[in-house]
Amino acid sequence: MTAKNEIVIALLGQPNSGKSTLFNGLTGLRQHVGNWPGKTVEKKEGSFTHGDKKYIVADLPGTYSLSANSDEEIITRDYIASGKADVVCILADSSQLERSLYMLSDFAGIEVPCFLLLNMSDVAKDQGKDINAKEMSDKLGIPVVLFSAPNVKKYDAFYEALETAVANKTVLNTSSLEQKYKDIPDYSEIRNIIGDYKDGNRTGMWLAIKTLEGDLPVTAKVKAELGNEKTAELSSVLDRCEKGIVKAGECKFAWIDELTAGSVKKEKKAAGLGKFDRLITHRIWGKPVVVLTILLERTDISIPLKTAVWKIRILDLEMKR
Amino acid sequence: MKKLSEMKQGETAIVSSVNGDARYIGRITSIGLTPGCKVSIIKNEKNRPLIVFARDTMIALNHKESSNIEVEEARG
Repeated sequence: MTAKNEIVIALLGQPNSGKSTLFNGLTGLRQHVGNWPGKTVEKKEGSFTHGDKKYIVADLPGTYSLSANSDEEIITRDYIASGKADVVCILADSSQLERSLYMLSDFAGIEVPCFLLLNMSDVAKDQGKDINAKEMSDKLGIPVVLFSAPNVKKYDAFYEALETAVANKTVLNTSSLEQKYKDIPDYSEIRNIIGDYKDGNRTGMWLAIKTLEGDLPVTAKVKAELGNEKTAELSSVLDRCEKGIVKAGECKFAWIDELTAGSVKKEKKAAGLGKFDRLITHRIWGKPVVVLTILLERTDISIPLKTAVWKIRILDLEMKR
Repeated sequence: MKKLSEMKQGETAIVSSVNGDARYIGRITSIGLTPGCKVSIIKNEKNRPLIVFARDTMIALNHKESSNIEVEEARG
């Protein structure tokens, strides 16, 4: 909440999950673009009014996880840890559901009201996927919305989920995930060493799994907080545990599989490359086609003409094949 | 045990281990290629990115790096 009683929403999702489309759809021209302090990472903030409330939206950098491998990831997770956001909107791409839910599983254990937006649900539907959002919502304890960001006229479900998350302070249910973590002996030890310690909105579970993953900033923070004796204990666990991130990843994806198992029905379709995919990944034609696209982008030819040239080119190439 | 980069187009495999530096392992884990994950090889040409389908997603991997991923051959 800002000083002016505005509610702050953070958009969290992997690259290409549709954060920016949603951001633009919500805020229109009421945007402010700058940099995150001291970093060359773009910072986008905007605002909108719904009902009688004013909302501030922060479009966080797209990252694959909440680890500390890049500036973007550090900015994203520090922003969420700062508690500036009243509610986090987590986006996942329904057309690549299992993989894109990794962000949700990586977020699990941070106690901030949140809701899940299953974006590109229209594409998922075309793939023959039937997602039961209600059932997922019951399992997760947060609102889950099937969504399509470009369709601005159908944002009602988004606003409804947002209001529910803010009013009921819906926090993600992590008990079944923690159950899986506990099967990793090293996790249980680390969790015991950490004990009751919490870092703001980051729970002992989140700190423990990040420590197991070998996350340096989190480990340093945890060590600074614990006494010397416990720090030594922690170091000895970490010294002998290898590839903690893989073990943690297995748990997260097992949890995701469980979440989608009953709630997502799929028609069996063999995965393959489309016509265009085959063209741009072609051994000989791939590179020329990509270069051509970029060159056309740089010319002053108007867009409809460009599209036409494009189509002719593709036809041409296909005939040559 | 085989390397993912040695698999042929149309084959299916189960990931058994991922090796490399912490950053690489972290990235591969976050795109879902964890032990036990089923992977279909969509395209594998020499010196070209390896294209695989796993966890509902089409993924292009650096050919050299994908030799760090060990797999068990699977049917179907």
